[in-house]
Amino acid sequence: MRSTSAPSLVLDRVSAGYGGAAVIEDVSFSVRSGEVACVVGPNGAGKSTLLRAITRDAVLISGRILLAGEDISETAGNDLVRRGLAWVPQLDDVFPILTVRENLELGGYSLDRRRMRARVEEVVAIFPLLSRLLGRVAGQLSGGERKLLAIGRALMPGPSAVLLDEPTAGLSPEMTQLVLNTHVEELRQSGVAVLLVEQRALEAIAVSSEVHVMVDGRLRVSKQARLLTDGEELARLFLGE
Amino acid sequence: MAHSGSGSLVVAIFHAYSGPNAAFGPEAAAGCFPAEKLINAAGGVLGHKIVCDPTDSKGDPADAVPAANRLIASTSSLVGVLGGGSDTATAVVPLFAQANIPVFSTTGQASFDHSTSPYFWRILSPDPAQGGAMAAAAKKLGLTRVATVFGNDSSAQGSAPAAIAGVTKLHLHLVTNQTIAIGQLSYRSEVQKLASAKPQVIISEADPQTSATYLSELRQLGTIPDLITDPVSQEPGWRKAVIGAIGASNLNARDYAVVAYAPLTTLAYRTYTAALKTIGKQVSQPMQWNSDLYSVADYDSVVVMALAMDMAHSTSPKVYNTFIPKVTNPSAGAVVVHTYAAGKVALAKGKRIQYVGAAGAIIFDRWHNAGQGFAIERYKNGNWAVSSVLSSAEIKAAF
Amino acid sequence: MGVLMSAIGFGIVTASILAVSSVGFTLQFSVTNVFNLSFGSVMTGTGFIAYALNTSGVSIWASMAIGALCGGVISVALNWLIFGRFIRHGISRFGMVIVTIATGLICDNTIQAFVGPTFYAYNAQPGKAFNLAGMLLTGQELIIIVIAAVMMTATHVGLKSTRLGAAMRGLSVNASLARACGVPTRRVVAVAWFASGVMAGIGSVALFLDTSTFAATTGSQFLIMVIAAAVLGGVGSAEGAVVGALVVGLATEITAAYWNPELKDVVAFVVLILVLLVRPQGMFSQLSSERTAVG
Ligand SMILES: Nc1ncnc2c1ncn2[C@@H]1O[C@H](COP(=O)(O)OP(=O)(O)OP(=O)(O)O)[C@@H](O)[C@H]1O
Ligand SMILES: [Mg+2]
Repeated sequence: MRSTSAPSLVLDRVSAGYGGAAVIEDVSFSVRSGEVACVVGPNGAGKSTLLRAITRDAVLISGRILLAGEDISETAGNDLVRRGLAWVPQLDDVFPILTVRENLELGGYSLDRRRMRARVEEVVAIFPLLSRLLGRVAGQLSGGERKLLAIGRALMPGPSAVLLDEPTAGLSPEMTQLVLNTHVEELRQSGVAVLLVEQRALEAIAVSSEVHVMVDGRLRVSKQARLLTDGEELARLFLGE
Repeated sequence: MAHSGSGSLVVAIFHAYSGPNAAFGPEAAAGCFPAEKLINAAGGVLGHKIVCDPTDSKGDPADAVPAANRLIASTSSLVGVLGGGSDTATAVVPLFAQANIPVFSTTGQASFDHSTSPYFWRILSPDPAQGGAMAAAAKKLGLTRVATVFGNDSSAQGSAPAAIAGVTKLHLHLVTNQTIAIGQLSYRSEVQKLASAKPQVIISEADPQTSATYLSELRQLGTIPDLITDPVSQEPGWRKAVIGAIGASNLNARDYAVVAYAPLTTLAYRTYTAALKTIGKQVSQPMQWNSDLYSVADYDSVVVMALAMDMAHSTSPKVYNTFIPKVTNPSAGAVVVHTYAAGKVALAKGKRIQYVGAAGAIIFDRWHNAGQGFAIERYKNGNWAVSSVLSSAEIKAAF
Repeated sequence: MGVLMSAIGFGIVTASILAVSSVGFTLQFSVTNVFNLSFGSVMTGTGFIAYALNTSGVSIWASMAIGALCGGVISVALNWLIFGRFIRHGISRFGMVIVTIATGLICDNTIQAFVGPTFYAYNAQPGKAFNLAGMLLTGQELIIIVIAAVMMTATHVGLKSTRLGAAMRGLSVNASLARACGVPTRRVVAVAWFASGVMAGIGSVALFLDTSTFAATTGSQFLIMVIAAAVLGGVGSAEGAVVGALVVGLATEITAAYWNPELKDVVAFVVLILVLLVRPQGMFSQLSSERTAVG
């Protein structure tokens, strides 16, 4: 188990985009192991781009990204998983033509074969709903089932940091509860650093220790979550007042 | 290109020099330039020199039509055209005819069989004659169980109907008649049908690859019957493909090529080949064309034009055009001549003449089609040799 | 009955020849999203490599194997030198198709410059014909059927039951997620190009043995049939390509046997259009049409 005090994921003055102008600029914060940090902000603010900057799916223009003390700014996208990073994208979060089991196995591509098999059982134990769906093609799952699979797939390699991009989008209130209060909370308790992007700001803040408000590609405010529970204040921040 | 120096008369070689039919141009040039050389050596026509002028038709009507219009507009001394192959004749013959320029075409299209254009002239036989001659060859060879296998391309379909009709006309037994889609991956089902019809001979034309695939699959079912083919089978590419498929000995033992025939031993022909040897500047490797009937016919065409001008005492295309059959067709008291020089002398003495050229006698019918004889040729010791000649009666019986 | 059985036998031979190439075409497409119209030129190129070996005394089957490996290398090289660069520069899918057409033309004409506009044939005996339940097949045809069956089974097992296969299928639908899972996408893409080049090589030698002669454009000439089988089955689906090849093979042979051989292509393509009318994605495809190319 990692020390809960050491920052696990560090973003240091990160600017990123898609080949043209920077979409996000000068973003700095860190997430500790066993801690949930959430990024909230209006549509198009650059939240997903921030996560993609970490996963190499967007172009890192300047700044550094550290994971467990190591600089991963230059690491190839397909090596990040071996450094302990996992990502659940906002859209296209599963392989729709593969079965649920194959999705999980591919999630464990970086593991050796035996470990991968065992890990599928462990992950299914965490998400019991998946156990009866293992043979199903992922493209045919419901939105909720699919999201659980996406998170389960990301957990396959046993990551030390997890990026969740709007994991509750389109889910029912019960399912949202399950994802945020049960699964995200379990992850936190197991010592994983969780970076959570959410539209449901108040629910997200309730499970987070730090909140970062992003507007127009920049961090407007970074606060301890317990200091930001007022919906009105949040709305003002979103609107840029 | 048009070097129409003062006083010279231009004969355009209007054929493809580029594109898939790029051989047509040099093939016709190998007829024109020897004629130019011999005519000018004999003092020219009414004091004018003949000049052959290559013009690229590119082998397709879209390019040929503007090229023809340009040629007509820019060449005031244009007296005749060799050209309009099967690829462009339909499009360009009317253009030249409208400009009152005689066109000696080598197209095989049946649509010109009853051409009413006064300026259209065709020395070689059309495609249907080829088909009939193939049927006549089966009869002559004593092969009575006949199958026909033709590709569905326009070249093969030119002779297919006449071949099939000819087989019936000649009371041979048509055991099966196949039109096959060319360029297929396999013809196994067609071949099996053919084999079960047990033909003694297959009358056939198709492109090299189609023929090779078909015959190789036929051989896998047993032996190949005799083949009656046409000049396509004399093309090096066709032979190479089919030899790769069934072997040279198999092909040479089976193949009877029915080809338009001119006895290539005559004085006219020897005069032509002697001149052909000397035109290496205008045509590369001229002797490759020495037994090519299209080249030979184009040579005769230019000589006929020149003689008609002499007889008409005019180089005006409109005037001399009507004299063309008068120097070729037999008539009472006519002197038979085999060269331009001899014809010129005879005409100067006020005699009637009949030019019998390198391609043989040229007898135009009222649609200005002459038509040649046919022969059966076999490949022996590295050469094509005439094995028998089909008489005109034998060919006529097939129609 | 006899006619039907033999038409079926012939259809299976045609299908075997088409299937190897179609699966190669579709496999590479499904992984990389490049609709590679230069595939026919790779076929021709490898066909000529096999020819060079064969005429210098190597047996036709060994020539086929070596030619196929060269095909794999050529195919990887094309992606490395040409296609991959365009993809990384963000070319549109349609632009990429044009690039592959241009590449095919360059290859065909270069090959033609070396071999000339004439025909070639392998030095191989078709062998005696065997009668199997009314189907007359030569030894050579039987070997081709066996090779095709082995290749298809290997492809199926490889895709369905190996990690590499799962990685390929995953990559084909979601490249960035596959990368996040640790799949070395460049390497897997190279493997897909290699496999497709190998199948182009085997497919071309089988095809050229079947047509008995070939020239510089023969591969490209048959590409339309290869694509038809792939599209019929559902582009991107290996099983689909096999079934598509069987449909094309049987449709053409049965048309020739029972109806009018002139209409072989017509019937094959009418079947193609009818299938696409009912199932626009082809018989087996699960791929959506909105994926982007991966290099
Ligand atoms: N692949 C891309 N190429 C170019 N621009 C992009 C790309 N993806 C996103 N953008 C642009 O970057 C900006 C930020 O988009 P991003 O998806 O990061 O926002 P977001 O905060 O995640 O929004 P949402 O809450 O709607 O998911 C937007 O203007 C978007 O149009
Ligand atoms: Mg987003």
